[in-house]
Amino acid sequence: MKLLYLLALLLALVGTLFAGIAYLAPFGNTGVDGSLGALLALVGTAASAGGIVIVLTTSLGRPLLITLYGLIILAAILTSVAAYFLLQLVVMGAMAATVIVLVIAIALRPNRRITP
Amino acid sequence: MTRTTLLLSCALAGLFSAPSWAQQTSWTSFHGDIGSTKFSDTPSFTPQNVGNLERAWDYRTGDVSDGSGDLPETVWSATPVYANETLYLGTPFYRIIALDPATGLEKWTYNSDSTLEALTQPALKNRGVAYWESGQVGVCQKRVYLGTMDAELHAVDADTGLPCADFAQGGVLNVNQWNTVNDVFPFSLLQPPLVVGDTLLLGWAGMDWEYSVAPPGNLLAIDAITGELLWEASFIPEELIPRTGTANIWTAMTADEELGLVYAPISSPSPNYWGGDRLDPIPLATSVTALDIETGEIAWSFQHVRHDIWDYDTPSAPTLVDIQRDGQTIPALVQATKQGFLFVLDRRTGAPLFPIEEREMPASTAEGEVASLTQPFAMTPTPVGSPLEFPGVWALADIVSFGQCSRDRDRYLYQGIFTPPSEQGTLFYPGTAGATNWGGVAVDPRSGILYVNASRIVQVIRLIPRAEYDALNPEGGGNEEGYSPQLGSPYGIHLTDWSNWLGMPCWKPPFGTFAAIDLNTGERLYETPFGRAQFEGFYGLESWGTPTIGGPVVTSGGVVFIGASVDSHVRALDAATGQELWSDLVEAPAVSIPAVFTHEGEDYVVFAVGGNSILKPEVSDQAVAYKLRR
Repeated sequence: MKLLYLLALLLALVGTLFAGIAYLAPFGNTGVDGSLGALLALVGTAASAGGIVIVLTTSLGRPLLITLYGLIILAAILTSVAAYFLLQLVVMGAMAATVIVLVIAIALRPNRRITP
Repeated sequence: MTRTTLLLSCALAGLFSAPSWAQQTSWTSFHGDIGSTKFSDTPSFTPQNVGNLERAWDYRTGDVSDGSGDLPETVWSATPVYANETLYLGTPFYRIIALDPATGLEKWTYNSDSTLEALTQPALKNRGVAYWESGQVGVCQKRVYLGTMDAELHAVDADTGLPCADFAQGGVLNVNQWNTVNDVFPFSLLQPPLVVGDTLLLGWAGMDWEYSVAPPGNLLAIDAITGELLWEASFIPEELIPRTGTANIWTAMTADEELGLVYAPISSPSPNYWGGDRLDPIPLATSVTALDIETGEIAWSFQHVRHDIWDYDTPSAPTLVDIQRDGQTIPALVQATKQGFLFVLDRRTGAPLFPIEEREMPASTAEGEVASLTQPFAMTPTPVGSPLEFPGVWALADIVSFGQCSRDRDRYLYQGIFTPPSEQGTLFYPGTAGATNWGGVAVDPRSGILYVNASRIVQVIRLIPRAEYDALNPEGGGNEEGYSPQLGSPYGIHLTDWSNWLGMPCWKPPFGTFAAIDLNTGERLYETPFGRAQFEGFYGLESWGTPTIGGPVVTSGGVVFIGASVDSHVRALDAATGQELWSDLVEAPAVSIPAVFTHEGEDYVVFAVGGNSILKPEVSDQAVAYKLRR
């Protein structure tokens, strides 16, 4: 199970890397370098990755955990959509895959029951 | 015409040869040839293989400014000139660069040492160089000419870049010596001269938005060898010169050597947006006018805007085309306009080859103004950019701005095309940037099919009474947007795109299109959205299109090459359908016309990528060449 979360994290980091390249353009013009849109995409990917790190490294109560899952998935979806309109297809694909993997990970997560 | 018929026409066109002035694998002038066809006889580029284009080389001139430092911003709209086995570039720092067309390596450079001040324009602008050759061997028997912002025309040897000592004063001609009337600004030479035989035909750019009384427009014919003034033709009636000016030629021209005529696209008189001091007719203003190349005598003139108060300058060189009509071949030309009308005229006489309607127009409410009662409408060929269909309010922009766009629509005046500017504020459509602009049209001379990119931009123009304008004390003035004083008139103006507070256009897309029109019948074959708008990095939907600056080139293989769009892409389109076949991301909007030519048996397409802040705040100094991957 942890592997799925790590896979989601990896995908989000890939998205962050390519979003950073799109914004900072270290290898030449990306068509969106320096733009607000690319910056938002970078923030979105980084926030998604950061959220997954929090899930992996902390023990949160159920309400807070559900909220965090929701925020991560929302951020990843919105970032994927933004990346589509930025013509950054690698970022779009990475964040879309992050959403899918994360949803699977959450669905397969064992329920914790308090034993009497 | 159905798509099948169009495809068949393109195929059959290949069986017929182009006229002599369009049979070329060179690119020797701004529009490719002196007929301004922008047609290249390079059959290797086809819809089937153009997807295999690769970058041959990428060159940086170093002559670029975003305006944030000491230098004004640059707007580089040069067409590269291919001649003498060399590629010549003019730059917005007024240098000439000669490159090896195969490698992009520098052969030589020439610096005019011109002042780098935006004397007559809001930016340092350049549209390239001109080329001449005598046919003989020797020093300066082949020349490259460069104009500068401060009215100098430089002539250098095309092989070495050294000044031609026999031209004017050591290779430099002071064109401002002929600027002797109402000389409130210099004759800026931003458009290279048209070279016809041993004659340079020269216009100039000015500031028709800044002053009412300005230098009167003229055409200068210069000896290509000595720099001597051969003749000068003036376009403002003498009795009106104390009250107005401009009606100049700031764009490229066209010539028919067989007929001995030069065709001059003449701009509007000053000031742009109020004509109360120039109510008398100025027949040559906002016209296409034919003049004898040897004498400057006017052969005929066709005025397409009467009493122009919209800055509907004739923005581009007319294009020569032979029209087939009832089994006869008629030598014609097509003049594209900012209004979106395409006027097809017999180039011997100026007679229209399609009906022209005179339609009644709304009156002006401005003090002292009397708008023309009628204007000419050319409904055949089909106008481009849908100029008679107001786009309407864009719901997305309206919702985002909580109804601002709708309130604007109710507040501002709009009575169709040619609604006069007003103190109330007038929705101005097509705007002064035009449906079409200086990029002009491309025409395949074998088929008579025209290709053109058109913008659909709604602007808001407000006349501001002088006292109010002076109290505002706005800084700066420009032609296409912002505040302009129109000194000497009762009004300054404010001109902007019609946008909401977020900067989104308030009018419905598409914002730009690409069209093909059969000039023999006047039928529109297709018109599709072109390019992708971009806002804060986000690209719009393909169906939205984008405004464009620059023009297309059509090749004998059935491909159209074009930059021009906001999204900083250069493209190849299928000439038969307008569909995109290939694109490449470049540094900035390629607001220019590409050169397409054959060098050492290989076909190239070269774009100058300079940017223009009208479209997007990105500038560049990139020249990029493409060829087919082997």
